[in-house]
Amino acid sequence: MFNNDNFDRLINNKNKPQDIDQQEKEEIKKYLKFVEAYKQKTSYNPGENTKDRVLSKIKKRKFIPYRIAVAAAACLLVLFTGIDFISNNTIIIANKNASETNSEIERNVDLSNFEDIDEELVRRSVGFFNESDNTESDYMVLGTGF
Amino acid sequence: MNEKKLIEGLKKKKVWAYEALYDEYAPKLGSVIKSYLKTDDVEDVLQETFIKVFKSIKKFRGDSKLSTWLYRITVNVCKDIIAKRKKRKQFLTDFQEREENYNLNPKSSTNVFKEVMDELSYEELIKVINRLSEEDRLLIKLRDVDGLAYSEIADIIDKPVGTVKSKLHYARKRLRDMLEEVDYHVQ
Repeated sequence: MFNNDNFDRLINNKNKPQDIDQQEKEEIKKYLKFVEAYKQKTSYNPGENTKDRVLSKIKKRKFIPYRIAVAAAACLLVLFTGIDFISNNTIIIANKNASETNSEIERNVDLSNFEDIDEELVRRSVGFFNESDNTESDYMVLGTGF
Repeated sequence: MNEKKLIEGLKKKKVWAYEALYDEYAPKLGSVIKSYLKTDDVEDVLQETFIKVFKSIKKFRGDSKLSTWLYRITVNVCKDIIAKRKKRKQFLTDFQEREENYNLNPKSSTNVFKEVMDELSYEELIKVINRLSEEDRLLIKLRDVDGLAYSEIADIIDKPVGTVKSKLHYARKRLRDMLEEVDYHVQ
């Protein structure tokens, strides 16, 4: 058995051991045999499937920033369209009798809500919908839309 | 392929560069994973390693060889996996089961290897490998099997060269003692 650094030196330099006895030679041979066996034991040959999987993951990751950019652009488009729609469908309901400075009531009217509301109820609530009946209303519509 | 060109391609996230990198380094890195984690299921770990390379290639300054940097990433991924396994007890149980499978049903190249080895020697080899610590296995693998320089190993495991030499010296000594104990046959 080696009792100094000779073993490391011999293994590192890969020199042929000359000044060592038979037992030490056997020990080196045994170690190198183990290393060779371990090399074969741990050898790895990756298959094509693994390669495809790895590359597809990388491709996905590569396109993540572009996907985020497209999603952000889509969100902004929806946001601006929504804001534009709401601002174009705004009406201002003003009290005819009140002074302009303190009586204007601004309301956003969502058209879709009117489908389910009883028309009579609406007529009573906001007289300006009842123009055909010549009903007097205290309010007038100032905005655009519909 | 020219390493500089390959690194440029990797930094520009070119798929051809990752394909070339895989072709060149997957067998080597897979072998390190197989040795360090003592498992045949290296695909997931290899995949994680390449994704980590993809994420951090911009940080690669070229101070060391690309292969050294790749080995370091692989070792770090393996260390994370070992830490996770140790943290979760159920993972540990799975690992032991896998270890048994590893001993009894070696896959692919292992089967071929077993065929050319004497049955008794094979069992002895497995016994010795199982008794070696993770660090000992890694050091012996990098130095004696893959033939890396001490300075490269020092870079990979992030330790001074002197420490690497000392650790490897003791790892070899432990291995020799084990080989002596099991009376590993030389044919």
